[in-house]
Amino acid sequence: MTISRRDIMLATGTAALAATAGPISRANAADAPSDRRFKPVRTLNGWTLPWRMKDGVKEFHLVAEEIQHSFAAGSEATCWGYNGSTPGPTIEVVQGDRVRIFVTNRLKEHTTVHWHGLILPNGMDGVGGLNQPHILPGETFAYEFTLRQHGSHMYHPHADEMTQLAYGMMGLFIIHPKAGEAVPVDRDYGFILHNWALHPGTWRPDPSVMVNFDLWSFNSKVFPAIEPLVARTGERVRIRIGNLSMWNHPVHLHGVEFVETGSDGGRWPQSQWRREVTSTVGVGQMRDIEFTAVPGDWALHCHMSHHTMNAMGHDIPNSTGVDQSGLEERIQKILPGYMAMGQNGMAEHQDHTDAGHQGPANTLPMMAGKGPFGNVEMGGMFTVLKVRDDIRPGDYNDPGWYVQPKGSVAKRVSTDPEFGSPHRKPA
Amino acid sequence: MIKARPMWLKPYLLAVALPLLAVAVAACATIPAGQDQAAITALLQDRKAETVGKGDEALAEMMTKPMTLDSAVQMSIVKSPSLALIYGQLGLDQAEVLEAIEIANPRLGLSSLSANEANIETQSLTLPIADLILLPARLTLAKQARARARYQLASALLDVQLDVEAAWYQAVAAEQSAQMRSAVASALKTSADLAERYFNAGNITELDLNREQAAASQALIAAQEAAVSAKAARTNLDNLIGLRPTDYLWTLSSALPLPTENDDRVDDLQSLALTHNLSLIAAEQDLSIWDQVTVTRQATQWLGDTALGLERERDRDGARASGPSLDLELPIFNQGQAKTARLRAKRDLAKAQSAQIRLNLGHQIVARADELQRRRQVVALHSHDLIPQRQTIVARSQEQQNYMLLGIFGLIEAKTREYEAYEGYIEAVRDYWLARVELTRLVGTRLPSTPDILEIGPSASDIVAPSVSSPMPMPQHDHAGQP
Repeated sequence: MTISRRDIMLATGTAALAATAGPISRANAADAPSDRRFKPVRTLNGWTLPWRMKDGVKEFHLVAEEIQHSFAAGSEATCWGYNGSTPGPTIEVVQGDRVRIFVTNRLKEHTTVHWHGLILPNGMDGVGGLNQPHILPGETFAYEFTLRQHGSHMYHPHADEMTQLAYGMMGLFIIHPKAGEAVPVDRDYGFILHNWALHPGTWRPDPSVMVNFDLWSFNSKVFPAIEPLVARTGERVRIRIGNLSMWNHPVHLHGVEFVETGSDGGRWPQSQWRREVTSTVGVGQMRDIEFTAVPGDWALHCHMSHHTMNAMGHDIPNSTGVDQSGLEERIQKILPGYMAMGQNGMAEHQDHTDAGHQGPANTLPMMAGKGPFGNVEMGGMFTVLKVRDDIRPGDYNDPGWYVQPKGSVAKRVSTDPEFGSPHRKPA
Repeated sequence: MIKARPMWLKPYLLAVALPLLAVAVAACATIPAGQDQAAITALLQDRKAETVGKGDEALAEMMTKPMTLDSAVQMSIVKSPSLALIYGQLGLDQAEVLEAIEIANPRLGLSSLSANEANIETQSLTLPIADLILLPARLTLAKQARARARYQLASALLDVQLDVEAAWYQAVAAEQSAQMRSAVASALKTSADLAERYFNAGNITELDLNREQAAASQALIAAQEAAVSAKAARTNLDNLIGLRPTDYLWTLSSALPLPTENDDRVDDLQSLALTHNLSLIAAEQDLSIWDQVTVTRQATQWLGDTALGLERERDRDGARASGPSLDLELPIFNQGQAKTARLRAKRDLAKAQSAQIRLNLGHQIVARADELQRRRQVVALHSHDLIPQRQTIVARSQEQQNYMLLGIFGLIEAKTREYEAYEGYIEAVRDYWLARVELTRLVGTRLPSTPDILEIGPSASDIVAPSVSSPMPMPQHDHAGQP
């Protein structure tokens, strides 16, 4: 057997921790070994699970448990996750690694973990009742298998799946190719798309909802709490997008034509790469996209416009075009807090909520976010790719707002609605 | 030798003494009318009822302020037409009593018999001796019957006051309910008008528009019905008080008092009723009367229709003869069994009625006291639970509407449900007081738990007045960052 330099580095780097007992937590992640065979994935608003090497097997330890989670400031909930977070920590390995993953169940019902898209022995596939007994509350099971593929994958429960997914139990499982990247990337990001029925005024998601969700998230966060993606101009950026929600999502990135380069079927050959500006990630799928970063603040979002809004009513009467003059005062006599809105669209709503128009407890306004030019009027599955000329490699800090070069911003030329003589559709 | 007749038998003495005796006894058989009024007043005062009528000036002054419970009752004891009926009945009762103690008049007998051209003339004077012997007993019974009549009349007067109180609660509550119904109708009219704007903008269906309009129409109908009920309740009150039709301008108090802080113990109420319920006292008085009548009858039935008299005769030859006479009924064919049986039956009936009133009273007090306690709880459930919950629903609904999670129609509907909760509260307070009036009627006196001053609850106008003066101020729109 040929031992590669990578194998030696791997063994050396992890030897010191071979005797470490107990699960590796975020607290001691800094002491965890690193695998230099790949550039680590940056999990938006998340973290990577440390491991230890034991007898040539990478050991990971997941803990399924109830957690307190914040979707954004002003929206907190009791969720379920792994090791204190939703999504759970990203597991990063290399093709060919043998892994042993302990799963301790601290929920009050049974669980299992399915390794989505992985090729492994049937008994490790994680479907409770089918492939294995359920992991009962308090029990720890061990999953052990060798990674025979590469690609972007996920892990999630396969016991009471609807409920446990609805509460946030999921995570990324990234398998880097053993042979390395055909086209190396400078920045590698990952996030999972999800949806939450956190009804306005409540503190626990409702697992029984199938279509009318309240919150749409990247890694269980909603705009403006989703971490921006940061890159230096000219860097090659990969974004791995997984979807464990109940809906397909056309994820659109402004500013570039990217290429779809992989999935949970593995890294695609270059001949299969496809140019897009929007990549639809189906339920249960992963999609990798890559591009060369160009300077600016570029919106990255699901293009289903409702998915870039936070909670909104779906059955309220449409107020567009409704003149409430004269009636607003009559309503205010019985409901002093009432304010007529929506006659000309919903843009004014963010002004109202930013000015303090009170909503239900623990509920985010439908649209939020302030940019350098005013209200961004977004929520949900929306974040920003921030590319600057002067960002150092490996620096993921938010560089602030982009300052456009002079003369390159759309500018006002008139305030007269009758300005110019635009063509109209012929009669 | 002719034995001298005793002085008392001397005819001329008898002729003078007997009538004088009869007149003297008859004179004792009356009771001054003024004693009745004083006794009735005392009975009412003992039961903490109103007794003193105010003068015209004071009554006119009362009518410049809203009609409170006290002013309604005070007005009624002066003007209520029922009082005239009651005092008229008192006059009738007095007449019946007088009849009961009347002594039969003396009888003067005259005859002139002719035979052989000469006349025999006879004169006689008889007095109903049985009546005279029984007069003291009958006088006592008459006084007792008069007392019974006073109890009954005081009870009727107390009932008038309690009827006025009940009518006042009904009228105030009906007026407040009508105002709440009007507020609901106004809110739903606003909702319907808004729905029309939505429909005109093409945003809701004709079906949804008509749903809103129908709700508004239904509410307006209910408001009109409530106004009719309020008018009827006010008319009833004015009628009981004795106001003129033109006195409807005397405004009612705008709110009902809140329930008292404490309840009375049922045992205490039961004891109080035995000594204060005038119907029971009258019934027991009645039994006492019939008991005595029966005993007196049993002791004196042998007297029958006995009469004592004086007879004088002048014979054909001018000789005169005179002397006492005795007309004695012989109990041969009957011994007055029918009359005795009737008296015993009346006594038994009185006994049964008294027992029934007492039993009924006991049960009714238990039931009414329980009802009063539950009515109090219903009021508390409204004020401590339902209304705050409805207010919270409105507040939370407003927040949802602020965030476009709830439509305006849903918010207005929540507000009308809050109004309805208040209306339910007003009716619950009314029902509490009506139950208390009925319990007072049963006990026969103001309940011990009645405080001197009662806290007044919210009025309909308090309820519908907005609590926040203005909505959130709008921010200034700007276009920051434009070059």
